[in-house]
Amino acid sequence: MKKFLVKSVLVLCALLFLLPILLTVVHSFGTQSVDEGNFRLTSLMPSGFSLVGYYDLLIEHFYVLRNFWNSVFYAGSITCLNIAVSVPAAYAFSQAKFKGKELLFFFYIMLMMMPLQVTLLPNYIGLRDMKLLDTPFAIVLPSIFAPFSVFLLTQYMKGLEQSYVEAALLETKSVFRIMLQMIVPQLRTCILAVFVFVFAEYWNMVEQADIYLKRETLKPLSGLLAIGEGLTTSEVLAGSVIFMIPIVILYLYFHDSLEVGLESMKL
Amino acid sequence: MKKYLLKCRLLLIPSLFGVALFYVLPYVRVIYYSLIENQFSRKFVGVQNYEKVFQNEYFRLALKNSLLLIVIAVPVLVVAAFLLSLLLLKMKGYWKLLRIAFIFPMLVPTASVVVVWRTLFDGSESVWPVYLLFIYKNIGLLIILLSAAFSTLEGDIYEAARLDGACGFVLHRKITLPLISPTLLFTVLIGVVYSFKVFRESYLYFGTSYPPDHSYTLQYYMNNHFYKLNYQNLASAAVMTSLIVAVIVVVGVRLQKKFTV
Amino acid sequence: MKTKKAADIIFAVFFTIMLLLTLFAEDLYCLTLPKVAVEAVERRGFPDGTIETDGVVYDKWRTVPAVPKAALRGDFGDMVYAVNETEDGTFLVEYYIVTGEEAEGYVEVKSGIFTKTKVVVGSDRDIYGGQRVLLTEMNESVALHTARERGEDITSHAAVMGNRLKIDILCVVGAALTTVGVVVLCNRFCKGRWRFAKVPVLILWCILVCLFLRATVLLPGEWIPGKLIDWNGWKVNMERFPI
Repeated sequence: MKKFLVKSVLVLCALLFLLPILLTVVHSFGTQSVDEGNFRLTSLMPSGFSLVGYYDLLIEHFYVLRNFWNSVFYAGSITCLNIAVSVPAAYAFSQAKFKGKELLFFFYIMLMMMPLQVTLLPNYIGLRDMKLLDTPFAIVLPSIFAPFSVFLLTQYMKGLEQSYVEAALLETKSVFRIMLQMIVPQLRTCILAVFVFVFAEYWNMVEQADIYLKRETLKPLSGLLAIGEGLTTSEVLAGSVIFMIPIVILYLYFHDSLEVGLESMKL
Repeated sequence: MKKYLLKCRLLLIPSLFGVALFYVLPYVRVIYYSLIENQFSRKFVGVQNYEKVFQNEYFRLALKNSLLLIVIAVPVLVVAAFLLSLLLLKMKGYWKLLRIAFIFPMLVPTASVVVVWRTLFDGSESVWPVYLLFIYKNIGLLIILLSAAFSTLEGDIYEAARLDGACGFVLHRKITLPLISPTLLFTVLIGVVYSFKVFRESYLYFGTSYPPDHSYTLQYYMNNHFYKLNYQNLASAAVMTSLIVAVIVVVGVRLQKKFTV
Repeated sequence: MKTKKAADIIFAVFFTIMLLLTLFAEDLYCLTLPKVAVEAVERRGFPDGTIETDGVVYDKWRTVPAVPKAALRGDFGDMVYAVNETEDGTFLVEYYIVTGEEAEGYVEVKSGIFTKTKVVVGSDRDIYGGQRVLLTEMNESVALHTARERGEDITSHAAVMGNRLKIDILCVVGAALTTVGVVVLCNRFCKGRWRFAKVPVLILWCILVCLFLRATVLLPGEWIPGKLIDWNGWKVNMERFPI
C-alpha cells in the first residue's frame, strides 16, 4: 500500500515535469491553438493536425537553417575544445604538486560559480580589445576556458587509482602518452558527462549571442528563438522541438555516463 | 619522478592562459573601470561609483529580489530534491527510469518550454512562474547529487540503528541527515549560486528587459546597463555581485568542510 | 541498448532531414511563390482619325506607350502590377496609371509608368503588391487562374490540369515503389563486407528521389507545398485543380 502511494506520487510528479515538454511537442503539430501576439497557446489541446509551424520555419524562413548549423558548430566546437583544454588541466591539478595549488583550484571553483552576468563584462572587454566582437570567435574562445569541466574532471580523477603512474613512468617518459593512454580511458564516463552537460549549456546560450554578435547570420538558433522576432508562435513551437532533438539524442546516448559523471560534483 | 611532476605543471598552462586572457585580466580592467569617473577623463574617484550604484533604487530593488529568490526558491528546491531523491531511492527495476523525467529538464532548452510555461500560468505577472522554472531547471542536478550521496549510505548502519530501537522519521533524522549533510550543504550552495543564474529563464518568460518590479533581479540590472554601455555603473555592479557570490561560496565551502570532518 | 538504437535512428533521420532542407529549402520556398507571366510596356500605334492629303484619305496613327488590357486590375481598372527584379528576388510593385483609348487588346497609357517596365498579365494564383514572385511563361495554370478570375469558361484548362495531376500521382507512386525496391535490394546485397555501403546508398537514393520529384512534380506541377501540409490546404489544392 505504502509502496503504491510512493509510486503514484512519483509518477504524478514525473508527469508534471514532462508536461511542458509534451505540450510543446503536441502543439507544434497542431492547428489554430496559438495566440500569435503573446507567444501563448489558447487551449491545452490543439484542434487539428498540421505542419504549418515546421513549414513556415524551415521553408518560408529557410535562413533559420543557417542558424541551426551555427548552433551545431558553436556548441560542438566549444565542447570539444573545452574538453581538450580541460583534461590536461584536470590531470595537472590531480598530479602536480606546487605551492598554491589548492588556492588556484579554489579560484577555478569560484569562477565556475560566478553568474554569467558577472563574467560577461570581462569577456566583452577582453574580446573588444582583441577586436573579436561580432565574429564566431567571440562566442567560442571565452567559452573554451569555462572552468566547470576542469572542476568536474579533477574531482572525478581524485576518485581514481593513483598508483599506476609510477608503473607507467618506467615505460615511457612522455606525460602526454601517460595522459592519453592511461588517464583518458579511465575518464571516459566523466568526459562523456562533461560533453553532454557543456553541450547542453552552450546549445542553450542566449545572452552571449545577444551581446557579442550583431549579425543575424552568425547567431545561433537559441538566440533567434529566444527573441522570437519575426517568428510566429507556431514557428517558435516548431523551432523548440527541432531545437530539443539534438539534446534528446545526446541524452539517449549518454544518460548513464551523465548521471554517474555528475555524481563526482562535490567539494 | 621529479621531472614528471614538473611536466605535469606544464599541462595546466593552456587552461591558465585562457582563463587569464578572457577572465582575469579583463576583470582587473573591470575593477579599474569601477574606480574611475569615465573612460575619457580617467579620473580616479574611489568608491564613488559604488555609492552611486548603491543609491540607485533599481539596484536595491534588484538586490532585494535576488535575495528573496534565494530565501524562498532555494529551500523549496533543496527540500523538493531531497524528498524526490528519497522516494526515487525506493524504486527498483524499471521504476528507476522515473529519474529521467526529473533529470531531463536540466538539458532542455529554456526557450523550448517557455511558450507552454506562459500558457500554464496564463502569462501571470507574479514571481511564482519564474521560481517554478528555476526549480524545474535545477532539480535534476540536485537529485543526481543527493541520490549519489544516499547510495553511499550503507545498509548496516540502519540495521544497527534499528536494533537500537530507532525507526522511521527518527532514524532518518539521527542517521541519514548527519551523514549526507555535506552533500546537502553543497546542494544548498549550488542552489544559491544557480539562483544568481536564473536570469535567462526570467528573461524568456517575461520576454522583455523590463519585467514587473518584483522580478527585477540583479541580472536584469546588469543586462540593461550592458545595452546602455554604462561601463562605470556596470563595472561596479559586476564587482559587487562577484563579491557577494564569492562571500557565499567561501562561507559555503567553509561550512561544508566543517561538517565533513 | 534499446535507447542507443533509438538514438541512432533519430540521429540519422533528423540530420538527414536537416541536411536535405538546408540544400533544398530555398528551392521549395521559391515553388510556393506565385508564378506570373509578364509583358513589357511598349510603344504601339493607335488609330488617330484620318488625314486627307491631295484628295487621298490616309489613316492617321500615333505611337504611344500601351499595356495589355489583361494587366489592368483594381476596382477602377487603373492599377497594374509591375515587377521589380532585385538581387533578393522578384517583387511586385503597384502602379496607378491614367489610361486612354483601347485597341486590339491594348490600352493606351497616358501617364504613370515608363516603357520597358514589365507588367503582370497573368498569375497562377491571387497576388498582391509587395509579394515575391517568380517569372514564368504564359502556361496552362496561369491561363486557368486568369480565366477563372475573369469568370470565363474553364473546362478546357481544367482538363489539362487534371492530366497534369495524374502524371504527378504516377511519379510519386513510382518513386515510392522503386524506393521500397531499393531498400529491399540494399538489405539483400549490402551484407558482410559490403555492410558499410548501406547508409551511403540509402542517403544517395533519398537525394536522387528528392531531385526526381522536384523535377517532375514540384517544378512543372502547380502544387503549393505550403498548402499540402494540413487538411485545409489539401482541400484548397483540390478546389484549384479539379480532376
